[in-house]
Amino acid sequence: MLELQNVSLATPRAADSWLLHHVSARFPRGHLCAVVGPSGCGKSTLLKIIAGVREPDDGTVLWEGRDLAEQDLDPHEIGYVPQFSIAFELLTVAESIDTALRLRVGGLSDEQRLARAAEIIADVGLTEIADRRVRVLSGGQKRRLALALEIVTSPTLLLCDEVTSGLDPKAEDEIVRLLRKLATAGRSAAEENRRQPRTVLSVTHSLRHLMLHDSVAVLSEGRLVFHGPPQLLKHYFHLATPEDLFPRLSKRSADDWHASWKKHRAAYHAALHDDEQEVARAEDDPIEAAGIKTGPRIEQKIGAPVVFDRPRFSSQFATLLLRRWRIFLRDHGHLALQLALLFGFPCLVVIFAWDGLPQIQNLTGSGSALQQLLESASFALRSSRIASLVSGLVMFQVILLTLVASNNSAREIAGERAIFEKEKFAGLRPASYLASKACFLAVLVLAQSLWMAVFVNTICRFPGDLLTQSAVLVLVNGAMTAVCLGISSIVKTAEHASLLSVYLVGFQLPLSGAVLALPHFIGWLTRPFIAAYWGWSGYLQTMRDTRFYDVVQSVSQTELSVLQLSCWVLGSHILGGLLITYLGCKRSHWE
Amino acid sequence: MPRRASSTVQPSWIIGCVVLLGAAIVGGRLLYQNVSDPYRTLTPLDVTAYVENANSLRGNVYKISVTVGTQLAWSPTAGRLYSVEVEGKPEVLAVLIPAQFNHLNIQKGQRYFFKIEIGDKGILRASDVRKV
Repeated sequence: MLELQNVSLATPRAADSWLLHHVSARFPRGHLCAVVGPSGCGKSTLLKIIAGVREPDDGTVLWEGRDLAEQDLDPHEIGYVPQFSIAFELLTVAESIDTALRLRVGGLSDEQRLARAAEIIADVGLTEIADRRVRVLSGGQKRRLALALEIVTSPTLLLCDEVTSGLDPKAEDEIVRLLRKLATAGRSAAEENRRQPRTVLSVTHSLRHLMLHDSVAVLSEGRLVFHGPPQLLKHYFHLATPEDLFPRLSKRSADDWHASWKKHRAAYHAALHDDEQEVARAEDDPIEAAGIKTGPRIEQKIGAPVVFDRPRFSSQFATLLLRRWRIFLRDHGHLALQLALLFGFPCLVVIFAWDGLPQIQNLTGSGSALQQLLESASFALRSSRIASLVSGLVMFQVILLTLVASNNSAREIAGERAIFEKEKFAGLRPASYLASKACFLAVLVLAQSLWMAVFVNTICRFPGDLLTQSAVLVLVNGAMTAVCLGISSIVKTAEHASLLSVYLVGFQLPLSGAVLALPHFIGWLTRPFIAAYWGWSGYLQTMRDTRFYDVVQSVSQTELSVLQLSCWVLGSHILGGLLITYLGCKRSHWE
Repeated sequence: MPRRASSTVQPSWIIGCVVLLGAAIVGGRLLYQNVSDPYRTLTPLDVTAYVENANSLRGNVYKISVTVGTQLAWSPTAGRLYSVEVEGKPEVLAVLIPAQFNHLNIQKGQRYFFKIEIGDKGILRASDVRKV
């Protein structure tokens, strides 16, 4: 039994303006309720409060008699189908359900999992198209899939937010019948152990199929103005058809309707069902209570809820990593872009030093004073050109890798935030998610950085230790990737994350001091955060024993840092980026 | 277990982050001190005192940061003698780079850290050489 007691939620800007105001209702198990009302009346907000993703300012939500404010629903107890898509477009139906099972249900063998997936697919009527990708599914099929993803743990409370909106009448009819089936599942002996009669709340705009529901809750401006069997709706509101409900609601204020409902509620219930007896009966035998008028009665007592183990960290990590690679390899546009960056950017570097680096002629220090002066002037000019070339080539590699890094991770979390929030709601550990992202991105970072180092070194014959140069490039790419991943985890949209990451890359060159020396104080203040400076400085340190290092050092007005410190700071960036990402993943982003 | 909406980042995580940030800064600082100055524990050479009375410093070990000037003399067995400008000082000194450092390509204008010993007659002899 789900029970709402005087649930209220004020609008964020005004404490006396309510999104929901004193909403009280009871929904027994095996019960399908339609929550209807005009746009903005608080239907979705009510579902979010029941789900626990929003906190009410007042009132209590009880589930099976327990106050959810004190002990929240376990992930396996609740299914929540939000308005947005919760499946990856490039996965097939079967893969989506298999992944959901792997992420949410632990302790299943491969055979059990496959059998369970096939059963769920059959339950929602998607068997024929199980190998079809989500991208090509119709609206109705996507809603079926969304429902399938939510019933993998056999939840006893299922909340559906506008799962029928935008569907044609036939698809809408099918979805409502499916909801009815999900609410009253568990009729056969074979199903008894796993399929529990559910409480299903379905927020809908459609008034065509209300008769298929066990009850209808009508909200208006945050007020509950009716909750009863659909047969009473027309009678109570004096409607010719249910479609006349919203125009009728607009004729009186919500407070009037609410007051009227409070006044007449008992009489209506007494006349038709007797509310108190109904509640008592629902508590004793909710299934019987659920079959108020519509739908078949279920001749079965409710057993103990099915409890699934949550999968281990490693299991969730492996599932997410496998899914990420699968999506990566199927996203041909993204794959082509990654390959273009991988092979194109090193080519951009080598065209500036195709014939290698010029040699430096040292000062002889002999001859007359005039000759020495002329020699010094000539040396200064030559060394300045060479220093610019060497410093520029190193910085070019670093900047290109920071650009690649922002492309790697800026959209990585923000682009799938809604799905991640939904999966987190369903029991996914943020740590598993972060580990899978870090592992996936580490492969990209290694491939990009090592190829850049090897290719440029091979073509341009850069002096210095290749292994150390590779390590510095890996670190600078990793640092920027981790920081952009952190940005991706804390901002609201993928576009916002991309923009911020591009700005961050744009600031790298001017604030590195490699081209123009910064005022001492500003340099001291900003340098710790500029990965490009540490990458540039660390890479140049690998040439320390060469004349190239000397000329860069003599020309540059920005002090070069030692290799160890560069690696330390870049390592700190990686750690900091991952920490920010973890905190960003932990934080709720439902709004 | 609080509801999902009220489950926020625990203070222990914030504290952990602050501790890690502090560790990164302190570690970086220590690393900088140790690596940026390889002779951190040595006293910088007091150039003025040396110029005034080199013998008084005989036998001592110091560090100096220099820019290499002209090569004044060379011997395959004794090493190379360079004039060097001491960082931040107007004086020019002569430093003997022993033969054990013959493999180093020391050129005019390069910057070095020298660990120097003051020998007989005040001769500055590099016992260790690191590029800045």
